[in-house]
Amino acid sequence: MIHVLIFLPLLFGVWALVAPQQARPVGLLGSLLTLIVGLLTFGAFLGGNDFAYHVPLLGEAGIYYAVAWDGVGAVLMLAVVTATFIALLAAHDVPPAMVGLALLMETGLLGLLAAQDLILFYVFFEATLIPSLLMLGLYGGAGRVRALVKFAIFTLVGSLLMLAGILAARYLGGAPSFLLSDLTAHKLGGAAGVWAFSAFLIAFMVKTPLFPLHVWLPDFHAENHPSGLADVMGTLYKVGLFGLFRWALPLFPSAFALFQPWLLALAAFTAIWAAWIAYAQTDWKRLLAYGALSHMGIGALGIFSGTVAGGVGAIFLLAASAVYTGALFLFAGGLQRRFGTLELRPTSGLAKSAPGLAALGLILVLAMVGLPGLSGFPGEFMNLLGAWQASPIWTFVGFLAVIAAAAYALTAYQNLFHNAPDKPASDLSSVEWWWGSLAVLVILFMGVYPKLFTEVLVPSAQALVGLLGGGK
Amino acid sequence: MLLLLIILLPLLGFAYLGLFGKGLREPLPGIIASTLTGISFLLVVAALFAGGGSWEIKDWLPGIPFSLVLDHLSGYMGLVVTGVGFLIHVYAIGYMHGDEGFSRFFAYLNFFIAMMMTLVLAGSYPVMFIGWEGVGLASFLLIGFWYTEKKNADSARKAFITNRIGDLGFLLGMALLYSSFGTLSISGLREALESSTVLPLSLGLAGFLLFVGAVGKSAQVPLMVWLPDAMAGPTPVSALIHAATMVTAGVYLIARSSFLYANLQDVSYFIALIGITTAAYGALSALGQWDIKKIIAYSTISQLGYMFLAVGVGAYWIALFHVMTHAFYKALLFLASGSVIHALGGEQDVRKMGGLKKYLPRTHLHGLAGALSLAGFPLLAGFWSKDAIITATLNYPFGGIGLYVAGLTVAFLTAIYAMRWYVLVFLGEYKGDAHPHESPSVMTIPNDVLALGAVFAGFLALPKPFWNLIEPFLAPVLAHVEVHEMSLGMEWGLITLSAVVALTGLYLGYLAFTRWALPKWYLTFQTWSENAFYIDLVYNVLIVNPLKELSEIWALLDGLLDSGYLALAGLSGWLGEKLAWLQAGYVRVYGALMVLGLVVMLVWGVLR
Amino acid sequence: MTTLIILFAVALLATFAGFFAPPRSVKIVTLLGMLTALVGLALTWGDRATAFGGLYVADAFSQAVTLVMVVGAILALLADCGYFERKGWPAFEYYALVAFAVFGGHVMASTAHLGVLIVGLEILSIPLYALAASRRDAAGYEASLKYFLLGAVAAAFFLYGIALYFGSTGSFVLGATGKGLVFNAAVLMLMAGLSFKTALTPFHWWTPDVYQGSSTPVTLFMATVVKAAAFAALARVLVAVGLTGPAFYAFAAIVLLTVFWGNLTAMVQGEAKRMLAYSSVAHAGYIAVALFGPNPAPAMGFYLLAYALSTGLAFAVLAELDDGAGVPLEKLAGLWGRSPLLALGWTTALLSLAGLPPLIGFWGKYLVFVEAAKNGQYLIVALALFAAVIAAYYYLKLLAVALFGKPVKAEPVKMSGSAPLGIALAAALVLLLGVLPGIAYGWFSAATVLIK
Repeated sequence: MIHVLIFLPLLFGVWALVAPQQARPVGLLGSLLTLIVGLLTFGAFLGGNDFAYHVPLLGEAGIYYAVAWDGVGAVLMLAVVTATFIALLAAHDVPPAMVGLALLMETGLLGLLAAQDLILFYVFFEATLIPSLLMLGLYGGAGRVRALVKFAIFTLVGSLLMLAGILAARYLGGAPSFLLSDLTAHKLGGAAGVWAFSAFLIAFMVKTPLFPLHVWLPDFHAENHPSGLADVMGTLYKVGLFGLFRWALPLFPSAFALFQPWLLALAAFTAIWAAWIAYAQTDWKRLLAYGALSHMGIGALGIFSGTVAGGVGAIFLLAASAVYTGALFLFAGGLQRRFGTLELRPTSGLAKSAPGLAALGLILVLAMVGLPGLSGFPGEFMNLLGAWQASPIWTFVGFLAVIAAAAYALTAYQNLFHNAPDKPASDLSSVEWWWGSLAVLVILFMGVYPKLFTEVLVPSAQALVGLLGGGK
Repeated sequence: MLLLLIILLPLLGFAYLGLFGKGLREPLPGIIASTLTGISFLLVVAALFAGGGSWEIKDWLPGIPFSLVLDHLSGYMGLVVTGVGFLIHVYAIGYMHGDEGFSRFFAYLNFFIAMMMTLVLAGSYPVMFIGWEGVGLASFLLIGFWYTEKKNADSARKAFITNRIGDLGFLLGMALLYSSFGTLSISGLREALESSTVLPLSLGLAGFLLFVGAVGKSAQVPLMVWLPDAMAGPTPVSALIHAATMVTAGVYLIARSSFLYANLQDVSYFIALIGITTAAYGALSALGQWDIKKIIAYSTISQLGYMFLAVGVGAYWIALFHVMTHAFYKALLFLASGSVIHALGGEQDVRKMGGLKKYLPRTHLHGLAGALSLAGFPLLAGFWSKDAIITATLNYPFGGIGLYVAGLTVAFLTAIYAMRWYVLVFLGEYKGDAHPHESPSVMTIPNDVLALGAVFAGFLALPKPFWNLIEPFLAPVLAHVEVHEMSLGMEWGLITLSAVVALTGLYLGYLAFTRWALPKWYLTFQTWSENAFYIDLVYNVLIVNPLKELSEIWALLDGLLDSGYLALAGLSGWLGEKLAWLQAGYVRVYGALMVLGLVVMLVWGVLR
Repeated sequence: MTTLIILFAVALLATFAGFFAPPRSVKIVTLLGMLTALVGLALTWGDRATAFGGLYVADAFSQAVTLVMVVGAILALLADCGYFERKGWPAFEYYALVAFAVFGGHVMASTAHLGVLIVGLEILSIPLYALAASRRDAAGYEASLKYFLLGAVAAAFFLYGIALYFGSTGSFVLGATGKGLVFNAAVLMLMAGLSFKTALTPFHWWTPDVYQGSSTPVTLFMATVVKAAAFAALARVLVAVGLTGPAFYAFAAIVLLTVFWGNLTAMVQGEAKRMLAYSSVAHAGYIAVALFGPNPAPAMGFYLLAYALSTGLAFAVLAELDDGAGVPLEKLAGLWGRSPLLALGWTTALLSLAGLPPLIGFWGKYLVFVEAAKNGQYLIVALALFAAVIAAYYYLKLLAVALFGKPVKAEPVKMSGSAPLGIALAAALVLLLGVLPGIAYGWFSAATVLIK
């Protein structure tokens, strides 16, 4: 079933690409089936089945097609299948090929989450870049090529360096294969470990992203297709925290211990810097990009704390933000549809003419602000508990973003929906109603009953944190 | 499960009214919302009689249960919240009559009750934080209820952001407690604290951080600036959220954590200082206001300061006693003001009132009862609780004579501004041009109930040798503190003194605002007071605006970083150009370069 | 032996058929011949055969390289069709020359004797000098002449290297032991001579001018077949003498210089063929990275195949767009709208050249880097990878122009003959072998660079 889950979207993606006139139904069906298979998989996973599978891909070279679900992967997998379905549901007016590309990306994302072999992970990680680039390049805005080149170069600088790190991790460390279990049994320490870890770090800092390797992000979102589909997929593709937690840290615990204080500082700085800048933005997508960046800083605090609580929090935050940040991008897409612009304030007092849209917007914005009861909170809170154990000072600095988040998010929200009514606009369309309520249900569920996810995250996080040797 | 129901019922009301309320005819949404709140009240009563209870989901977050506890403390607070909440719901049916957001209003009110009850019933700090932020959201929504006015929307945001500053303290406090004790369950922490002989040094910091949270929510100095602005919301909201219940959550938090603060002398003393400072600031600012609601808003700040003075000195039960009496008389004052505003068609400036005693006889009685109770007129509810606080500064562990004198002085000021409010609104000649009419009974009946409370609630806890029902009721759930016993004579002497102070204040206030021509120095003071001593201005100039400016500057710097990378890319392009220039197209050049390459290789590789 | 005979027979057949059959038939004959060679290769795959007293050694390595060459030749043959028909050049010699060049390349790859090696080298080179002029315009003649003159210089290096080698070891056969100043000089000169054919900096100067000046199918041929043959020879030489001492440093310098030079200069080009020419320089550098490993043959073979398929695909696409005056970037603009097949092929080719999984180019890069990593050459690996980032930039530029640019003229591209088949085939292989690299790797895994 794990292969079905990973490659089902690929199948439908190709179908959507070759039969563009049916792209919409094919995309919906494909992502819905994937969602269902994903839910079933998660159910079976709760029952103890990890679907591990293992076959040589390049046998003599020690490369395997090795996949399995662990708690971290399974939770993020749910986020991917859910967010993709919501996005495809919402994006009813995108060019047909985009649907196919989104599904291709979904396969890549599921694959990289399931991969237990470092090279396989790398392959999925890189392969996902291609549809992402195509979406941006084919359907982006006026500055798309610049944004694309920036995005691609940043990603490739990181990942190509990481390739060198990967080789070092195995051949200097003496592991018989690239399997996670083999690599962690032959950890690479010393100066070589520091170099290899740096390579991994750069790759994942680009993809988290963290200051100062974040500059591709705002352009990426601002230039992507206004529907928000590409932004959702791009948000899902920000798997840096996952990569750090699953691969980089367990492989190089000694190098990590050396860097940890700096990394915590960097994460905290990213959180507050981005949140602060978000306040100055004049465009919804840029605002959301900086907002999401700030959240990733918070998540990185959790990961870099090297604690179970922090790891659980970061992964939860990643999963939750995939849905609410994604939904916010779709929401911005809705504004673009109504007003033909993404500027923060195309009108004012919109709540008067579009109360449903106002309610949806409020819930999404509040999830981003991290209001308890919504999905943004549990992750943020666990990050806090974990990060504090590592560094109270940087936790304080990073969590100043909590205040800033309220400022930028509510200011943007009120500027649009409150104050004296200006140009009216239509309220929720039926498509918006459907995807909106689905997103809200997910956000509420994750906020009210995080236990379902944290329960599977904890053992997996304990195992990974255990590999760091600290055992906190 | 019963406990969950207390929260779920109003939440259900919120969901139902929020989704389908638009289709309901007035006053159905109000009736639904009031009924649900009423049932919640009855459930709290029932649960109390059943001896309390608890409910939890284990490991809601890793190591953190979702736990609800109904003990004497949460039951007591729950009664105040749902009880006063119910009355205000009923009142609002009349007050909000004809508003196009009628059902939305009741949806929000129900949401507030649900969140407030979550806060109150919480058995662990994270759960309390859910309610804590939830009531913050409700407050945001209700302050900005009439969102088409920019001023209202801005006030709502200001409240939320200011509260967030406090919330950060709360969050960090939780993180600190968790890292020290590995649990955030309140009972768990209490056990851990009581069993450990050596207290971690960080405990003081934890106490301080939690208190920062309370400062934000309860509008204490220096985070008090949002509360006056919060009056932008409809008056029932001001009564419910910004007087009777939500703003006392900070006091509740400290009382809940009394096991912690009873061990923290320095932090407690600091709390008391903040409390008395706030009390003085509120009272002084209340004196100069011209908006009928703002006077009461500053008074609320001041009264909250008293409550913090009480928890600061260790008199936790007295603080909660004052929470209750204050809930009665302050809700009453607000609702009476609402009644006045309603009668005058939205007028809020007291300079355009006066003489309303004649037009609004029932509201006048409500106002009088509220004002006198606030002022500490002997034997009324406010008198007993406030006097208990002032006396407590002398015989509770973290008090002192300085606090006593300051407390008494503020009581004097309180009496003056309470009288000023009453005089300006109800006495003298009517100076407006509307045609005042008494409110409907759906509004006056709740006020009657509140007035009864404002007058008689004090008799629940009288000084020795009379009965005191509240202290023993709450004692099992509050930390035990050593109280310095006072002789009866001493105690009653002090009571007499504060009665005299209050009466003097009232009398002077009456004279000043009916008979006297006010002196010049007072007019200067009046201007300062009216502007709340320009704190808002100072904050804007020193903090808010620089922060906004900086965000622009950082955004610029971020762009520069971007250009930096671009320059780096340009550099490699430049290098490429230069190298490509060597590719001149002449065979002789190529041949020469090849030979040169070989020569270099040979010289360097072979002959060195 | 079988392969040698088949290739020689094909060359002869193409030559004589040209006298009485139309070029189209000659082409089909040559194509069929190449397919026969593929069959022959498959039948003898892994067998080790020697002939002529050890002068000719067909081992797994020579077969691997020959496979790449035959595949490259097939692509070149498929790609030529429309191009020449449109230009109206009767060109039966073209096919004969191609066949002879492949034959020469096979000889080159299948010997450890320096004398035979240079014979093979010349059999390969002389047809190429003629092919380079196949455009029959000033640019073509210039390209041909440049190639010839510089080739002569390189041949001189190589011959002089052979002389010194014989002088210091007393043998023409690779693997003879020798040391000292003269031996080192011999090795470096052999290295320089072969670096010319493989297009390693600073001996790569001919590449951009000749690639740009030749007709596109010929460029394709050069980029695939010639490179493979030359690398086979280079590998035999360097493995035989061992990359130690001066040879190591010299070669490391050459390789790093190559990857940076190739990529940096490619970045600033305005014409697609020239850009790919510089890219081929850079790729030569990557292939050479494998030589730092303990057993470079499988990785090299794989990379050569990957590169032949990818760059062959790219040039095949360009051949369809090239009307004889090259392919400036603007001509690529809006390719997506004008011909989805070409756009798809172009995208696949460039992403593979850039080394993105799941395309075959990624595995090529991966394998050569692993090879170097096995010997602990991480500095070379890291620097070469860093250069790959620069490469990614211009591949993306090429891609972006084709997919996202506004076309100058929006008319669809007319393709004719076998070109679509070749493009589709190559694209499918690039993707398929990228998803299942184990298949292709299996072909090469047995190969080792044996000396005798």
